[in-house]
Amino acid sequence: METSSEERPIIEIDDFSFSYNRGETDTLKNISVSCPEKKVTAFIGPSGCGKSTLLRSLNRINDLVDTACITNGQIRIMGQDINTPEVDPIELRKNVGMVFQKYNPFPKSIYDNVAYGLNLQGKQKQSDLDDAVEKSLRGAALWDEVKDRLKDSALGLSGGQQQRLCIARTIAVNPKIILMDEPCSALDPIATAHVEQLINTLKQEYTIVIVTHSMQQATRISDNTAFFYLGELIEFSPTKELFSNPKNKRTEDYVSGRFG
Amino acid sequence: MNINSHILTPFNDDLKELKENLSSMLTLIETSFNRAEEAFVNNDQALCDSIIVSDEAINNKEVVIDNLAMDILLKYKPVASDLRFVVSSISIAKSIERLGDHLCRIAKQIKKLDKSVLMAPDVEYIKDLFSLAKEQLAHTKEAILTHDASEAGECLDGEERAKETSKQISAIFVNLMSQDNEGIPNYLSLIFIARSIQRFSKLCTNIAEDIIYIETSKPNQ
Repeated sequence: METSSEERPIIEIDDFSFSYNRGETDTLKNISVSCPEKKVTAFIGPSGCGKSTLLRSLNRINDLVDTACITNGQIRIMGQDINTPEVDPIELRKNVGMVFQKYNPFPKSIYDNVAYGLNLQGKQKQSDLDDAVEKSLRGAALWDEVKDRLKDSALGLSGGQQQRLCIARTIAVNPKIILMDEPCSALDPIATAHVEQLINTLKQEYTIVIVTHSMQQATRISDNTAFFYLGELIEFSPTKELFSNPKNKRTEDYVSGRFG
Repeated sequence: MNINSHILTPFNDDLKELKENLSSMLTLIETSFNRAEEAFVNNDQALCDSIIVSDEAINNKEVVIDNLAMDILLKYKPVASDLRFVVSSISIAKSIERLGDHLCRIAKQIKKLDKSVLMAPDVEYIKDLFSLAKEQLAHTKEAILTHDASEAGECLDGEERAKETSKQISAIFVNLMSQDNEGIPNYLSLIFIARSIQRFSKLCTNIAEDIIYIETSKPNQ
């Protein structure tokens, strides 16, 4: 299994293969990689290489695709195989939150967006809910910007703020892992810098796996990087090493813009 | 590394231009070096002057290379071997500029020499030192042109040999100074020339190490 350091892995992907068409062809082929706890792991690779598919396998969002199936191997999170029948995907997603490419706040107030997951988990005292909302918004570096308008619609926020609100909504339920699928691709450079800074802060508390098309972003924010090509994991290394001295020629060709 | 295979052709063009500038800067050094060697053998003052004059062109090349490298970093944000090449180009250009400075120092010392001292048999040691440095310079230039780490590796042991020879030369001429007071300025100039060639040799080694780093990612010692 590819692992870049001696740190304790929280996610262990072991010889994992995955198909979108009932096993006729594998979109992911025998992927083995471990993501250490409280580190940022970046998945990079050309479009269609399977990086988002793998990310979505980590919280079983692919379950929503009827014809999708695992054809080999397993994914363990905190030592538990997440694809066994006894694992409830809803419970899994409490521990493995996700932030998407296009920010997607609910058409509700800022407060209700952050409180949404907590409300789903059951009734809470209003004061506890208030504390949790404030903590999450502070954690997402958004509190100072919205504290005076918590009841305003989330849709009135800027794009960068909406994405940070989605991150606040994710961390409100206190997950162990945050998955991010190109979280900055729809943001301007300043909003991107805010989100990247937030990721740097969040990794003290959470394990983050991020799919990004920006090599510069991967070098700035991730500790380890995995390069995928045509459904295979080509290389997994500490980020600095992967971008300065890649072991595999295909990695070097891709990161330096030589892919034909 | 292959600088011609990027999807973005202006990136290829800029890397190529950077390499061509490094190569032409080394050609300027090569010309000055050959002049210095010839000027030493023939005590040719005019050749010495031409070395000093051409140093400006060498200095200007360093500025061109620095600007080009900065431009590439800014525009293309290179990684892996491309990044090593661009960053090392700045360091190589700095080393080449210093090669030019040493050639100027050698030229200035040659101008001070009395022709008669060049007949002394011990002067042959300095000619040997010139040959050694010339060989290193040739390996360095070839390594830059061909991206060949093993060619650069040929340059590495020259530094030690140059150091030993330079030490030997200093000992010989210090000894001669104690016997011949009138010849002291000449012997001092010969010692300074030897030291400059030795430093020239060390800079060639530094450049060779940079080339090895570019091609293999092994850091400089």
